[in-house]
Amino acid sequence: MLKTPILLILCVSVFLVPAAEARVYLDIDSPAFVQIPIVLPKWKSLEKTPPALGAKIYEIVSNDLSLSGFFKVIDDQNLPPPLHEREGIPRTLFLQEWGPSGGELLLAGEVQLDPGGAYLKLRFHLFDLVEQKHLAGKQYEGALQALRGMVHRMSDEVVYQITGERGVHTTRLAYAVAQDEGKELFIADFDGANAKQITRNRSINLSPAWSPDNKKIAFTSYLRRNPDLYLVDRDGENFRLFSSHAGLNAAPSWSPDGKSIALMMGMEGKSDIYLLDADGNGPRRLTRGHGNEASPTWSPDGKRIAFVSDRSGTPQIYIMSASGSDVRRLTYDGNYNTNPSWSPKGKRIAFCGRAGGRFEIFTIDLDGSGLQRLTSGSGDNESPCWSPDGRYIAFSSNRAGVSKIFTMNANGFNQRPLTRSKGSESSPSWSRRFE
Amino acid sequence: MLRKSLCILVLMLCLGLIVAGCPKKTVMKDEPSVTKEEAARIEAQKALERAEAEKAAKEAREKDSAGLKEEEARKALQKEFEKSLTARKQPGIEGEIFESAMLKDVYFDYDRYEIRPQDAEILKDNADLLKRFPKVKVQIEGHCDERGTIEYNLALGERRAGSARDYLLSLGISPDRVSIISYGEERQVDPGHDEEAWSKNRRAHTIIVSK
Amino acid sequence: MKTNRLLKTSGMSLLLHLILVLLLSLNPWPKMKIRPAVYTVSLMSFPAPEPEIQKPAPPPPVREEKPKPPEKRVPEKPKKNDIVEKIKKPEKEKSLKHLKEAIEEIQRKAALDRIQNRVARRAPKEEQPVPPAPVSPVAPAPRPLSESKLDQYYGRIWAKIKEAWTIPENVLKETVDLETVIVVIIERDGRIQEAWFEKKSGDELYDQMALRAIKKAEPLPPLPRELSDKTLEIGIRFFPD
Repeated sequence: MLKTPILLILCVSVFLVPAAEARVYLDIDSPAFVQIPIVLPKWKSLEKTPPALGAKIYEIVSNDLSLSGFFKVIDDQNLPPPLHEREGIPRTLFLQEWGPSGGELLLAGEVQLDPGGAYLKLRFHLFDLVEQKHLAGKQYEGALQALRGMVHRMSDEVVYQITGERGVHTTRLAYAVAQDEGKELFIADFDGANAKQITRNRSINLSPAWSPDNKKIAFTSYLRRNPDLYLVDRDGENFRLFSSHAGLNAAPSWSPDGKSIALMMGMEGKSDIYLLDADGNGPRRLTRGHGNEASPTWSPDGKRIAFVSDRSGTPQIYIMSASGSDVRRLTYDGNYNTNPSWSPKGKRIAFCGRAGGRFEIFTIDLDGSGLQRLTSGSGDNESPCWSPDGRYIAFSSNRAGVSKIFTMNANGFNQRPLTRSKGSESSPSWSRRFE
Repeated sequence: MLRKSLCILVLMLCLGLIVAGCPKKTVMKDEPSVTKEEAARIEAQKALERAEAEKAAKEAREKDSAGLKEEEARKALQKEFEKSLTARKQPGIEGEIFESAMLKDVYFDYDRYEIRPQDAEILKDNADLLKRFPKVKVQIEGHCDERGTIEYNLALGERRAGSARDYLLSLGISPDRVSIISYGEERQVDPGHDEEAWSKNRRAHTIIVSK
Repeated sequence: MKTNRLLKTSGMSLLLHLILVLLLSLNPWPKMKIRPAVYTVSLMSFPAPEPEIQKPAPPPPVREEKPKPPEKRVPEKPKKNDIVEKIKKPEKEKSLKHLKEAIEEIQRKAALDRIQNRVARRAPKEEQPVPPAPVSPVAPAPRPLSESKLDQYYGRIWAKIKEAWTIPENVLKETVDLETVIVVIIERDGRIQEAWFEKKSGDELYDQMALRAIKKAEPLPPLPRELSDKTLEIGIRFFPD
């Protein structure tokens, strides 16, 4: 009498077993590609601090955030009435009132200049308006001259909170600028400010390369009627000869540990890749054969070097070990591929390739797959160089007439010129972060 | 008495010696017995000798004048050469150098560094000039047009200068007289952006570093 | 005497079965994913059909506890009369089959939930009255309606989250396949009780933007009345292409 239902139950429980853990899943694809809107209310200048200081900070950080490529800045001009008058740091309790701003994040802060006018305190807070919570807050203290550096540190911090990796707003770029006769070297901040001339020899100065410790630049100069290799400190002081073998001493590239320099030398009547120790020992020849070898660049682990060789008939990118062995060809598309630059993340190489009669910037995986073209349109784009976090690429482009240094995200997004100066710029080199 | 006659004897001996030392008058008398044929032959021979003498004299004169001409020509060339030299001092590059229009540039095809036949002739002329002025030392500059990347063009320019140098060496110029330098695309002579400008920029240019 | 022993052994056997079920429920099984299509629904005036979808009697063993299920059925009957919704004819065949599967799925899940709840606070029971089979959850007409309602609901939250999902332009093309899976528990009023990462993509920004999409989509539409649970737990898989 009782058996049947019990048996029934037993049977049923068997049926239930296979469907034990069947959670429903929704597949969502095709996100909209939109920058994260970040609200930036006016920066507050506390007490007797001149409002111009707050305004200056605002300008720098607003530019940094849109330069980073992650954000769309909603500045105070574009806020609806009650909000656009707001200054400084809102209280977490009142975050809801920022709803009408359209922002997902909010960055606000204040600055206080000390009575002497030489030191300042910079304070900021970052809020998540979607989750209505506080994400981060910091205070920086320092000399007024260090203002830009402090603001850039702050921008780096915002990028870190959102992406898990610090930004590169404290970095600088070195590049060459054409003069009446020849070229001189300059250094500018990532946002194009503070451009400073670091060579003043009226000669032809080429191919600057930052040392990994950010202290000096290696470059080639024709001062002695030969393309010799020189070093100069980043402030332009201590200009010294480093290598002056007959023929080329050109296109220097520092190893990631700063102990050697790979370069082009022409001692054997043609250009080959050689290694020089930073303390002057060497040079050791790495490439052999009948081709012309150029433009070495190190892998971030210091074990391999990518370079240009026309041993196959046309210039192509090759990879070899740092001792010159295990040479293999990387590029096969196109018949002119030069200027390799190895990403600090290690997985991709950027280079300049001729396509459709123009020079464009490409990136490619280490195994030769995944070729991606990053520039198009008019003009020639050359000399790609990665940022130290591997998220940006600097290059030169004459799309607007005269050649300028441009920066862009590593996927080609947000291409913009570095400076607004008129000179013809070329050969960018990207420093590491300045603390 | 005896002494007197001795003196007269000595005097007469001295006179005799003196007379004997005087130029003798030689009276040449043609052999009246020479035949007419012989006379003609001798005459012809003489004429021939005269002609030859004249010829030799003429040649000697010519030789002299030619040597003079050459000397003149050489001097003229030297003058021309000296005149053609423009001293150049660039602020950013050490050393004073000279350029001469008599040392002509040679040109290259796009992305190539071989010497073309028409350029070989120019290099020959340059070599000849160098042979004439054995003290002159030169530097060959390799240049590229503005296209292509800066660093690879340094390598290409090095090759172009090297090719021109090799050719001069093959014509007998001593290696220590010719050095090379690559300027890549850094020194354009024509700032244009078309093939006409580019072909002018792809060149090997020779300058004089010491004379 | 004999009945007691029999009861004891069958009780033991049942217990062992349930333990087995419990253990197996803890293992990962292939998950069923659905991409809810958005159905167009139009109100029609003719009466709802009564397709007899007879199931091989899976009356949830929940019946053993109390005769509650019959009570549960009661509120649904009036509903059936209230809302007469019908899916457009041409899709009827397809949707019916789809519904059939969905029905089973939801049933099982709902049933299991109840089992788990009960197991959690279970006291050993002696009497296990089982109500007759006809009180099966497969009351023909109401079931298709609530299943389509649930599908509709999935469709709505799917659309809302998708609309809220943005990524800054500088990110995606660098890294090719990023996948993040977030599980959410939705309360009856549409608020999110809890959300956590079941799978992370490895790119912190990407993960953040996925979570933010869910938060931006809040408050979600309230759970459909047909669903009797207090909360709904679903997984959301973010995968660009």
